[in-house]
Amino acid sequence: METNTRNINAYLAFFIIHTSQIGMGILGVPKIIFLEANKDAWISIILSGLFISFLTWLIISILKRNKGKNLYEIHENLFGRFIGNIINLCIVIYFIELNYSIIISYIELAITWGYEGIYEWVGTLALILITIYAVLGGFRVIVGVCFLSFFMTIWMIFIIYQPLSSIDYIRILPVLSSTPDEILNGVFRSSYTMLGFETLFFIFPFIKEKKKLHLYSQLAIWFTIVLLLTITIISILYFSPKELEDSVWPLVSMISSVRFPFIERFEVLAISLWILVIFPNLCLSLFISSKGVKHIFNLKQKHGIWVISLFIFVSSFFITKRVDNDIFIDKIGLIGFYLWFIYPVFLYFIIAIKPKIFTRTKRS
Amino acid sequence: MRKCLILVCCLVCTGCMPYEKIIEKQGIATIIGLELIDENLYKGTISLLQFDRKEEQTSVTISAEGISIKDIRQKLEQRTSHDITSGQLRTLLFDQKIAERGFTPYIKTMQRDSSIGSLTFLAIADSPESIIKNHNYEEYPEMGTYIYQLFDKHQKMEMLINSNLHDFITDLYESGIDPTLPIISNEKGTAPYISGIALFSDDKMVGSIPLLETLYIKLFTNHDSYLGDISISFPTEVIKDKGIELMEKPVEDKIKMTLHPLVYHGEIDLINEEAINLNATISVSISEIQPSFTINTKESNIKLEQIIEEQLNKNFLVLLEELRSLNTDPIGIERKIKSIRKYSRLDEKEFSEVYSALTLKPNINVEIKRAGAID
Repeated sequence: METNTRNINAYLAFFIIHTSQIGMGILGVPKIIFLEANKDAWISIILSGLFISFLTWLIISILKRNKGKNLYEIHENLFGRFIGNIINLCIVIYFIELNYSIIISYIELAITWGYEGIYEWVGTLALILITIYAVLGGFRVIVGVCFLSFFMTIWMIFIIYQPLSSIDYIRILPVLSSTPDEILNGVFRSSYTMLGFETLFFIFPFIKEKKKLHLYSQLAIWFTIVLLLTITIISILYFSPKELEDSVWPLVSMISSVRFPFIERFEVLAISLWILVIFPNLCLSLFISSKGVKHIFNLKQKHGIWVISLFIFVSSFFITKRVDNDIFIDKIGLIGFYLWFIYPVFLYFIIAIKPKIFTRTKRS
Repeated sequence: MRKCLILVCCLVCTGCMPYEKIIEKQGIATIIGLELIDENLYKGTISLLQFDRKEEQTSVTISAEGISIKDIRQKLEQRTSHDITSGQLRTLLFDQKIAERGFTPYIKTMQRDSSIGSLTFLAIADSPESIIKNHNYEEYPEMGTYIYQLFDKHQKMEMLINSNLHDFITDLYESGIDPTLPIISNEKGTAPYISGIALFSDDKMVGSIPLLETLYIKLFTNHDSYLGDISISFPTEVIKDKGIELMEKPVEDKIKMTLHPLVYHGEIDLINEEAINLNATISVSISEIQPSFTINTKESNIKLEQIIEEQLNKNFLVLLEELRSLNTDPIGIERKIKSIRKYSRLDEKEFSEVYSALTLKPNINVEIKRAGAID
């Protein structure tokens, strides 16, 4: 059992889950869902939100049945050391790739909007080093990062006020013009942005008041959904369909029509500030993957952090093109979808069924 | 260890700037003019602001020929010791030939370049080069700023419909509404001025209307700006028929009125499959009546409102028919129709059948709120 000083209050879970959901995805999500579900993209987001809300309940009930263990330990208990660790390794690799995808997509964004000419590896190195610095500080530092990042960036939602003056309500009509198929495809494609609630599996042991956790995680998830919904609806109203399909980061394009008397091009500032938005994502994914490495290979977590970071840094020399990035991020979204949208349901049933089978075999 | 890490972070972060941009070395482009001089040969003119303390002149105009926008830019770089940047670009001028050929490829280039802000104005000009090289103005140090201020004022306070890059692209790509752009003219001895509004069908310019007539379009497309003054004139008999007493004998047989709009609101109303009402309400204050008459009773007020409404509706109907004959739809009637579920899946051809058979009925309501300091 962990010592008491390393535990955190339940309300902090709100910040952890919310900040790990919001990241690079939100910049492009209106376009990605729009490509599938057209004008009804916002319905996809609501459906996706309902599903995630259900998953959160599922995850919390899985964790409650396992008395404060994290997912790695649950796997080992459930499937034995060997098979459990194979699954754990997959999860570790997923989080490393997630971390990498966040880094490359942010660097691509920064290079397109104003930092033209720097090498990708320089940006990667800078991001990795600050991430290492934060994660070496331990879990409480990461929670602090999430908390601060939330308050330092949430005000950016108010800059949407300016584009509001040139929106047109007609663009969203008629409602429900897409087929159910298209809307469900939209739900599927929103996975990369929605992911982040899976951190619950790993932060659970650190929470003091475990009873309150469910409330705060639901709050965090619905806060994210409302934020995404607002941004998607405004994007649909603000851009014409083809324009939205054309732009890579609709949110940035929208911010680029914001002009203050004291700052001409606000998007440059917003993109620099976006580092604060992705910072919790980077910290959490590095933390979770290094925790997995510690669990599987019995390495010190510190060493795990360095090994993973080195791995990410070296990889950054290989994927630097726009097309490659797109494919890579799509793949991560796909894996994330199966791993965290589908797999928890199975896990829940396995955990529910396993004791029954065992008690039966004992009786006979 | 920790201190080392912080130090390395600092070094790496400051190393992120690829090359320095010193303001004295920048040539800040504020306006770019592009004209077609031959098949596949363009001429670009650019006005640069320069912050060099040694030089007296703050702006300089240069032009070059090339086969594309970015090719011209590259050739312009050969003609200046400053580094041309487009972060402060305020206006893009195109000549009419380009507009008639189709705008899409140029717009795509502008969109692709992240350093061009989406609030850059677009305009059409007879000869962009002579406009940029015009020196008949005193307010601003250079042409880019002058034209920008001109458009900005007109868009916020007067008749001009939003015509920046974002609005243009949005209307261009949206099926169901066509964009408009201001036309700038240049005459000897005067500063450039807005002479009209260009109408587009798809991305090609098909015609133009006077600036003051865009009032009717702006009623329906812009919601958060003001309108300029509306001038109307009508025969004196109209007033007499309604039974309003004139105070003085008219010199001419026409009455001229100028109204200052206070608040406006427009809405396209689809009544049935064959008819569309274009409802708008404008609250006005009267700023000029020639010859003057009193409007102190409620009765005469209502009568005057009716007269003004009739005049405006008449003019609006003429404009609507003109727009329809040019096959352009800057008001967004098609978009409104397509927002109804029944029509949402119409394609272009089917729609043009529906559109040409439509009865368009302008229905402007005028409310005289004030009449100035006298009755």
